Amino acid sequence: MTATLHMEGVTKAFPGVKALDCVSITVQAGEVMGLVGVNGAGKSTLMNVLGGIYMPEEGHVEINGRRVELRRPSDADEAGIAFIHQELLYFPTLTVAENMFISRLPAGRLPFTVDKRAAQNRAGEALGQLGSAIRPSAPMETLSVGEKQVVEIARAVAQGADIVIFDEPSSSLSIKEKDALFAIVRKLKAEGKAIIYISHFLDEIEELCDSYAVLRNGRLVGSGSVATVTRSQIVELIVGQAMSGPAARKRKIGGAPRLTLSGIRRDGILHGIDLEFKRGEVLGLWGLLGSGRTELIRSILGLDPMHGGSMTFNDDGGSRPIGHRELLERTAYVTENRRTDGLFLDEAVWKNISATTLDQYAAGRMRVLDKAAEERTAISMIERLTIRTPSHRARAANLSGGNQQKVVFAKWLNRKPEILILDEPTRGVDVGAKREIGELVESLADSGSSVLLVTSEIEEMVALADRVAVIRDGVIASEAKGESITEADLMAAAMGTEAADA
Amino acid sequence: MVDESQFRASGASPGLKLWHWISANPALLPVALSVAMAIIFALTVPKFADLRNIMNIFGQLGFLGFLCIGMTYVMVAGGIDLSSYTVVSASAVVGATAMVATDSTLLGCVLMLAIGCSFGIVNGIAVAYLRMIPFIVTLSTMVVAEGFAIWFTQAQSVYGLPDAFIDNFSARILPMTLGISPRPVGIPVAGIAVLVAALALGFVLSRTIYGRRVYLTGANEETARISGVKVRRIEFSTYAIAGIMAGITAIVLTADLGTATTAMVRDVRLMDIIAATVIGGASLKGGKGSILGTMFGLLFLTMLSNAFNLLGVSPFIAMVIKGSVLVAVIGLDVLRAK
Amino acid sequence: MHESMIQAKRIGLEYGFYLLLLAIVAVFTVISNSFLTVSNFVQIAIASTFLLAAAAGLTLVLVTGEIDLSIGSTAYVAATIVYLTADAPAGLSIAAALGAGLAIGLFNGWIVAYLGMNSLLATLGLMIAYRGVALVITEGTVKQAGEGLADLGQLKLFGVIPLIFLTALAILLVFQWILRKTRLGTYWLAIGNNEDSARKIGVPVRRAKLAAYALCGISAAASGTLLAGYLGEITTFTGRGMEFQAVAAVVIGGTSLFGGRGSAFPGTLAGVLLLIIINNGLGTRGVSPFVYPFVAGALIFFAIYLDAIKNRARSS
Repeated sequence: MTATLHMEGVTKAFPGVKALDCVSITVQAGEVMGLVGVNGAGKSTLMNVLGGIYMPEEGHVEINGRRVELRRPSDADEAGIAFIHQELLYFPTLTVAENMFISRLPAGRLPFTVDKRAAQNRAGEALGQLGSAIRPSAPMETLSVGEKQVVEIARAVAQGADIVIFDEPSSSLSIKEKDALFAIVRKLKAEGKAIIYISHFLDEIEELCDSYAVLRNGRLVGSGSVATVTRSQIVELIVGQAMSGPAARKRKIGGAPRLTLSGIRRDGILHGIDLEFKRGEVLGLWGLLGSGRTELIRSILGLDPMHGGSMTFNDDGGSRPIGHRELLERTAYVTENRRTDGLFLDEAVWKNISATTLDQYAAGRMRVLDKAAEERTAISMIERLTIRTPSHRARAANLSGGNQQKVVFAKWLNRKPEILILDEPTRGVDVGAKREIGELVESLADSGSSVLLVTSEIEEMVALADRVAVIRDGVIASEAKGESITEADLMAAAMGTEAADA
Repeated sequence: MVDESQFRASGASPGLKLWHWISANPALLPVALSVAMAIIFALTVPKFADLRNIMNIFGQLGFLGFLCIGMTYVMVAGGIDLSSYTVVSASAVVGATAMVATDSTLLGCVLMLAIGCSFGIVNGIAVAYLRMIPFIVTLSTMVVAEGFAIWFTQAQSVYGLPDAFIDNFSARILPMTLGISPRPVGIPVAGIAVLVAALALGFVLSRTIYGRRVYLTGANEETARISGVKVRRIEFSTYAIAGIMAGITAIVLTADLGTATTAMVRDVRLMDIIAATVIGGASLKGGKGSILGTMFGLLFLTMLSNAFNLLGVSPFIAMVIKGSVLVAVIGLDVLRAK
Repeated sequence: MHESMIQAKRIGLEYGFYLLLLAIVAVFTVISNSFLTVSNFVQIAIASTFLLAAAAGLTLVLVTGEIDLSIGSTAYVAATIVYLTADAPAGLSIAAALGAGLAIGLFNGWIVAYLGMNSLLATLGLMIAYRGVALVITEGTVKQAGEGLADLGQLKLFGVIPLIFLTALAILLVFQWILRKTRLGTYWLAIGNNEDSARKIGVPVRRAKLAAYALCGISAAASGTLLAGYLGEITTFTGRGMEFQAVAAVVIGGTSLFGGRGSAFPGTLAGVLLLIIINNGLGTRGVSPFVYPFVAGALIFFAIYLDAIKNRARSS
């Protein structure tokens, strides 16, 4: 079976944002289309429309020229659309075959039983089709990441999917596994599947895809045959010409160093990172998911293991080595995921805000907390950061994403941190709150904090960072300063290509 | 910016508003239950409201009260302690044996506290530092503590405790002779002790920086860690406190019974301890609960037992009712979470 | 770490309990003359029967990532049904007792799977309530079982193998078959692995959990019925403390408290035998019976420590 996928004039708006604006794409049977764009450009919204998770306000989806209604995930299943997600969904202790057919296990001869042999044969067939030698009877947990992904693809094939969507499939794979993945994608293509391949790596798009489509701010800004376009043209489309000039304002660099990292290593992830945090500077750490950016932060703060390297702290008394515990205490860390490790969701807003500075409110030998003072501070923080909440006593869980993020900031501002680490500070936050958070970061740097900014949003990086270190495969690949920070350069550096040489 | 419109929207109906208020103050449930129970029993159960009976109830709080306090600390920090009731026996038999041998009340009491604390420390290390599941860790220390008590005494009860010990800890102060009753009614020391402990440890949990850290650890361990709370140390400390509470219970119970046995606290009581804490607002997920709530939860259960006793209800039917109460409370907790 | 070392470590973690069981059997054989005798093995078989029957069902519940602490009380309730039907034919008596277990299991499963109550706390409360019900029925005294059942309880095949042990073993094997060969078993493992993923992918999570609890109820009831048949009477000690012993046996047998992994055979069988043999072996050696809880406690502790290490090794 083969299928041609066509999306016509798809429009989807969220409060305050037009996530997709009249996007039309066509993928022919036997074609691989590379879908690119910065984070927030609309790629995942578009794919969620295909997956039956979002209903578009306007536009529709056609398969083989026939309109299909995708109202829920099972509709996408039935329409023959399969997703290979970056984060795989699987059951570690079940076998490969069981994982592939868990929702449709073949019946055995006796009632209620499963014909494991049949399941394994079918799994073996599907895997064989992909040219893989994975044993269908092996427990899933014994497989490597790449092999697990192959199983996921085999599941899609076995379920008869004609349209396969790969969502950044290569980001956690080794080079060898990547080659195997490419071979499989080519095989699927030869069988006449329509394939959408989402990636940040332009070399992959060039190597693998027949056509490309670029999304920016929810609009399709370019598409066509990969053969007729250069890499730098694609980069230009991704970032947009207007934005690629130097950013408006940069602080003067030259503050004294506050924290110096040298040779930070973590087995298999970080391979000797040298980095200097300066006073009053926003240092950007730019890299793709899996490059080691979050891992670096967690390792130096002692939240994950660190296998080598040293950390030197400079304060008024000169420079000295610093341990994880003290660094954690001197650092404000706005984590990547506020719901899992940024907030106490079930606690009141004021308790969230005071959590990092309890010592300030404790008095006497019993260290009794002055709750009134805690609440006063919280109220003033709520005013200062214009956090929209019914009351400072409301549970943090009841706030919107942007306001939750502001609560996380309030929690740390209270401490007047020397070092501020921001990991994706504006993820899932609306445009207004985004701007406010940006201003906040600048004002903090102005007041002397050393800020480390990790973000996947390239515009934010260019707008806020005074200096950017590009991290790739666990090492610092390059650095850029001040006005030489451009979106095109960052994009190219993180992807491991020089925009100029394409 | 405090947004009044959202506030109003959420409190559309008075019933809903009341519900929100109740959910925000989980200690209300046990207080209300206790008050309602007290009124109902006072009106319907003969002798329930007698001063003598009230003092009995008060004294009985001392038997499980300390264990409930310990359980509250552990559960607020996100754990559970099944071992405390057998640790009581383990502590009691050692302390009592020493007391009989040396006639030193002090040595006996110190030993009871020390043994209780050691079991707490073992639990704490296993849960906080070895990252083992609290339920199973404390289940195995429960078995070990019981085994230890049986082995230590060869399954015999320890008799011949110093009179000073029994008199001091099982005494009733301010004895009053009521009417024709030959025995004076006084305020039991055990009740006073647990009241003092509840006030002190309730204050620590609700008002001090340490207490807040216990709550934050239970509410979200990872967020607490990043916010600078030494979560392992906090978790560890709650088990140590629970262990000390078991030691205190050993002292109180040994004095009251006049002997130390291998089963000072019956296993059905473990359910009472957990039920009191859960009725008091604690959750297995941690971050919730209070000493105030727990103590009223315990009061509620104690009054229930007491009234059943006075009414001559079979203890077996009482078990059925109490077990059902616990299940109902858990069901209520599910509703509250929604 | 070298591949071979990792491999050795993995084998050690996975099969450690079986090795330990063998080692213990070997040690007792050497140090005690009366250990390795037919009559002693019959003793071991009888002693393990009741725990085996109950632990078999608990294994299924633990595999789904839940727990049932009411099994001991369920066993007692089932035994009281045996007393209530003492005048009826043995077959009817057994059916009624197992029916009671099924009803209890369905109720437990309903409040956990459909009402979403925490299984640990809810079944702890029910453990007390069910025991209360049983005590109300027996008035807290010893009651007689029917004669037919009592005769069955003493039956020995070929004059050696106790029928009750074979029954418990059969239950265990049937459960293992369900766990490994049926759709339901695969669902249980999937739920224990990751309940959310299982739900998303279309596994009937609630029904599957209900089924696990129902079988667990039947298995606990079988334990109580076997005990009543063996003793010919129903004592108030029926099932007392059994829930904790069973949890220990199942976990020692390698079933993970984190769910998604485990087996009734050989896992739980090995766990039960380990606990019973240690008790028995210490007895034949003339060691004070008071030492047993120590050893058992230490063993459970060791088992869960291994479980925690294994779980950490896998998640990293």
